Order: sequence, then C-alpha cells, then structure tokens
Amino acid sequence: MKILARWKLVYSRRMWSRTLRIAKKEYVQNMKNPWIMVLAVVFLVLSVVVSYYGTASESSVEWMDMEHTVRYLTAYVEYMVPILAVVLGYGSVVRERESGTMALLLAYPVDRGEVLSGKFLGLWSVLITCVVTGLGIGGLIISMHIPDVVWAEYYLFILASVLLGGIYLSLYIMLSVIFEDSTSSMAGSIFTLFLFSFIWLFSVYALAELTFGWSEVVAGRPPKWYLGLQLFNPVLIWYTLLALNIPALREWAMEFGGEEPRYHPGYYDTWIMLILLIIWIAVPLILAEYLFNRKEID
Amino acid sequence: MAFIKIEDLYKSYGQREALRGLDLSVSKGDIYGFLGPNGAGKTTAIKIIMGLIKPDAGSVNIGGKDVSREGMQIRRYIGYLPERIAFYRDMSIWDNLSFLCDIKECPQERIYSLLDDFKINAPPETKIKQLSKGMVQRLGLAQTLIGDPKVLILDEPTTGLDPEIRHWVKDKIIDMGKSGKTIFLSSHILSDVQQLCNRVGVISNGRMIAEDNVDMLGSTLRLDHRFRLSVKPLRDALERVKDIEEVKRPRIEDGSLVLYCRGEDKVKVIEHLLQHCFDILDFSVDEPDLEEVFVKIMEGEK
Ligand SMILES: Nc1ncnc2c1ncn2[C@@H]1O[C@H](COP(=O)(O)OP(=O)(O)OP(=O)(O)O)[C@@H](O)[C@H]1O
Ligand SMILES: [Mg+2]
Repeated sequence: MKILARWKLVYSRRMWSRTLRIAKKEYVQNMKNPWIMVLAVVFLVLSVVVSYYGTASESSVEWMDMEHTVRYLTAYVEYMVPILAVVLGYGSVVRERESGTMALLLAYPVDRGEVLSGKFLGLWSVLITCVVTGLGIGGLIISMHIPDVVWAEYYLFILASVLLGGIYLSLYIMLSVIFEDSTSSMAGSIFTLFLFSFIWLFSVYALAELTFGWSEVVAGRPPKWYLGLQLFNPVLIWYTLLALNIPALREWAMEFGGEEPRYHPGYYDTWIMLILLIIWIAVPLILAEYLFNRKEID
Repeated sequence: MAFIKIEDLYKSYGQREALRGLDLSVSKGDIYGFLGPNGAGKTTAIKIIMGLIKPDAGSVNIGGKDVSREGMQIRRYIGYLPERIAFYRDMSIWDNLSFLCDIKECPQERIYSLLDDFKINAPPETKIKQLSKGMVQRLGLAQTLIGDPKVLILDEPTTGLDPEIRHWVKDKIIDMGKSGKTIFLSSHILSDVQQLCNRVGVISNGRMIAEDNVDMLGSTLRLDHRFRLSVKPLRDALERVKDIEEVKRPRIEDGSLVLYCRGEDKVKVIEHLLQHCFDILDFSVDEPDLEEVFVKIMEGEK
C-alpha cells in the first residue's frame, strides 16, 4: 500500500512544482555564491588550457588528435568534477539545519523527499552548467585545431562527466544528511573523493598483489571478482564507459589501474555502464531520503 | 471538541527526558499560552507538533488528523514561528517570502500587504543579513500568515525583543487572535500569557501540571505581588506589617522591607504604615512571576 501511495505521488503535479521550486532556489542561490563562481571559472580556464595544450603537446609540429586530448581532459575531470560537487553538496542539508532554515522550510507543506530531490536537481544543474560550458568551450578549441573530430565521442565524454558529477553530488547530499555538522560533512566528502581515487587504487592493487599478483592484471588475466569489484567504484565505471567508446583511452587505462578493455568481460558494455552510473546516482539519493525522514530537525 | 490534542507524549534525548507524558488540548479559536520555565519541554512539544521530531510515544492530533501520518495536509493550514527564526541570509526579503509562498502554493500578491502590516519598511530587495534582529523577528511573524492559516504555533514570540517591539508584537498577536485564528504560543513570561491568552497550560519537567482558563492565574491561584518598601524605621515597620492579615512572608532584604500580597492590598499596606507615622522613602512592585505560579500550584496540590 505504501509503495502504491508513493507511486501516486510520483505523478502528482503539485509535488513536481514544489520540487522544481526548490531546485530553482538552489540554482539561483548557488550561481550567486562567489565560491561556486570561482570554481566555475577555474573549471572553464583549465578546460581551455588542457584542450589547448593537449591538442598542441608532444610534438609541437603536429596537433594531437581529439582522443588524446580527451585523455588529458579525463585526468583533470576526474578530480575537478568531484571537487565542484563537494563545494555544492557538502553543506546542502547540514548547513540549512545549522542555520535553522531547514526547520522553517519543513514546517511548510513539503515532503522531505521533495526537499532532497529539489536540492539535487538544482545543484546538479549548477554542476551541469559548469561542466557543459567548460568542456563545451574546450571542445570548440579542439575542433579549431583538429579537422576530423568525432563529436559523438566528445558528447559521450561530456554526458559521462555530467553523470559522474551527479553521482558525487548524490553521495555528498547523503553525507550532508548523515553528518550533524558541516565540518564533518566536508571531511567526509573529501574522504569519499579520495576513497574512489587514491585509496581504492592502492587497496585494490594491494589486494591483487596479495592474491593473484598484479602481473596477472597487467597481462590481462584478472579474476572475475576483480572485474566485478570495479563496478563498485563510480570513477572506474565512468572510465570504463569512456574506454569502451574512445579507443585512445584504452592503452592508457592500465596505468591508472583501470582494465584493458580488450579483456573486459562481456557484461562491460556501454549501456550497462550508463545504467550503472544512473543507479549510482539513484541509490545514495534514495538512502538519503530514507535517513532524512528519520532525522530530528532542531 | 479539542482542535489540537496532545496525548501522553514522551520524548527523551539520550538519558534526558524532555517530555514525560504530556497531555494538552486546545479548542478552536483559543489563544493558548503554553507556560513553563527554561528546559520544561515547550520547544520539544512544539517541534513534535510540527513534525520536525518524532515522539517516543503518544500522539498529536490537529483537526482530527494525526501529525505523524497526515503532517503534509495539516501543515497547509498551520503557520509556525520557530524559537530561533532563520531565513536564507544571502537572499532578499522578497526572495525569501516568495519562495515560501510558492511552497505553500499561495499567491505572492499578499507579500506586500504582509510587509506593510508588519512594518517591515526596508526595501524588499534587502538581504536578510542586513536586517536587525527585531526586523527578522517581525518578518518571522509575518511569514506565519502566508496562506492565511487557521492555526498559528508560535514558540516564544516575545522573547529577546526590546520593549517597544515586544509591545508591538503582543498587539499583533491579539489582532491575529481576533481574526479567528487558533493560536498556540509558548512563553516563560507570566505577564505575557496573562495579557495575550484566554487559556493556559503550565508545563514543568515535561508534564502538564495545570491547564485552565487564564483567569485561574488571577482568581484560583490568587497570585501575590512582591512588594518592596524603603521605610524608616525598618525594624518597627516589619513588626507593624505582620499585623496586617493580607501580608505574607514579610522580611528585610538589602535594607528594604519585602513582602508578598495581592495587587489590590498594596494600598492597604501603605495606608497602614502612613497611619502609624512611618516614613516611606520609596517603593516598588514586581508582578507575579512563574515561580509564584509553581508555588501556588504545588500548594494547591497538597
Ligand atoms: N537536541 C537536544 N539534545 C539533547 N537534549 C535536548 C535537545 N533539545 C532539548 N533538549 C533538552 O530537553 C529539555 C527540554 O528542552 P526544550 O527546548 O523543549 O525546553 P523549553 O521549554 O523550550 O525551554 P526554553 O524556555 O529554554 O526554550 C531540556 O532539558 C533540554 O536540555
Ligand atoms: Mg524553547
């Protein structure tokens, strides 16, 4: 019954109008936040610089191809997008609880789930604005130097990065629900960022070395569980999605502990990866709603 | 029939029991004063009414609906002033109120008349962080009227304001009561409740210890004023006032004569002293306070 009632809510126009109203407020408020502006500008400038020098690097005589430029861009997007998400997400709930505005808002006829989804949509829109502008202008620069840009690959790169941002945002909103003060939430968010990049890499490396030997991975013969484990790290899903579609990323994948796509099992497929990214966005948000409904607001 | 009904409410924060079986009922159209000292559990009860925290046991009904199950519908016709009102500080007055209006699905046209009514004379583009505390509190009160709610829940609406604004806020609450709203307000200031409310519930340590019409404070409890007189000669005066039947607990404190008596008996005391040729240099009267209410209620229970 409760599930049915929820589904009825999904179709309620009023619910969407409140969610979108909260999203709009978050968008406007965050676009005016000077820190977000600074980060957006940094993101834009770095995208331009990386695309420019990316295209021009190695031998300065010849422009590199688009794929190799995307290779540089991924290394930078992998950190820049989560950092942007930290700034947007870490305080999204906990700071409103600290300041007291959450108590006021929740005394209005609004569901806590609507508040969270509104926040997510609004903050994600800010992130999308930054990523699409940054990588979009980057793409234009690339296309000025390279004649045969495969745009489909570049669009996929932007889409995947936006989804990666959504995942981090959703995780950070969840942490912002869990933690009781914004400092801890910030620390938790930064830890999560490190968890999926450095910490994961080193612990998986150590695990592989201890069990079957890292050389097996390098030789392209990792065991099944190792490949399955990768799907629990959104950064690796994101990277696998790109590697499956952008050939130049493949050789490079191994250096970063990613898998050589040639040895990717059959279920490593573009659609699966896209669906996994979306699941990775949805699960923390659903968890966040569950936890938020049980939170005391004071 | 009770419009707001709280039954057997329990709430603990770890070891600390904030509410221990609170019962309370408010009728439609009442201005109900929820009176209790600091830490009695007033804010805790109000947060449960608003669905911000969940009780360990017990129930809250408003208009026949349970707040834990139908909170969403109930909140459509409630206006709430939190103990510490907070708005989005980096947003303007207008942006804050229009956001809240949209959430409550009310037309924004009323914002101007609300700002006018509550004497918020700063331009609507002013950021909240530029407003004074008194102004924010008035805005907080204005915000409760968005959507013309039937019920107002006000957590200490008069605390922490300067006398002028406090007076103004009280007048405003009386106005809101006259317009037919049911008002539930918490306070630890006895005189405020006496001036504003028709019903009063006295809470102590998470329990209701008395609930009655507000006249009860004056008539049933017969609260005494504290009367301080600077009089010469002091010792003789003390002996003299002991003869007056209406005088209670006379004593000497910091070189003055202090005694308790009903408001209307004060003149009698002065007349008596003047008749016996005492020199009255000065006097002052303290209104009955919450402590006096507790003393009387406890006396009554014995
Ligand atoms: N979040 C909390 N965590 C732990 N204890 C709490 C919390 N909130 C309230 N308490 C405790 O519960 C008791 C009741 O607090 P409450 O705020 O309801 O009192 P109050 O009547 O509103 O007091 P005041 O007049 O000071 O506002 C107090 O002893 C307080 O210390
Ligand atoms: Mg309180």
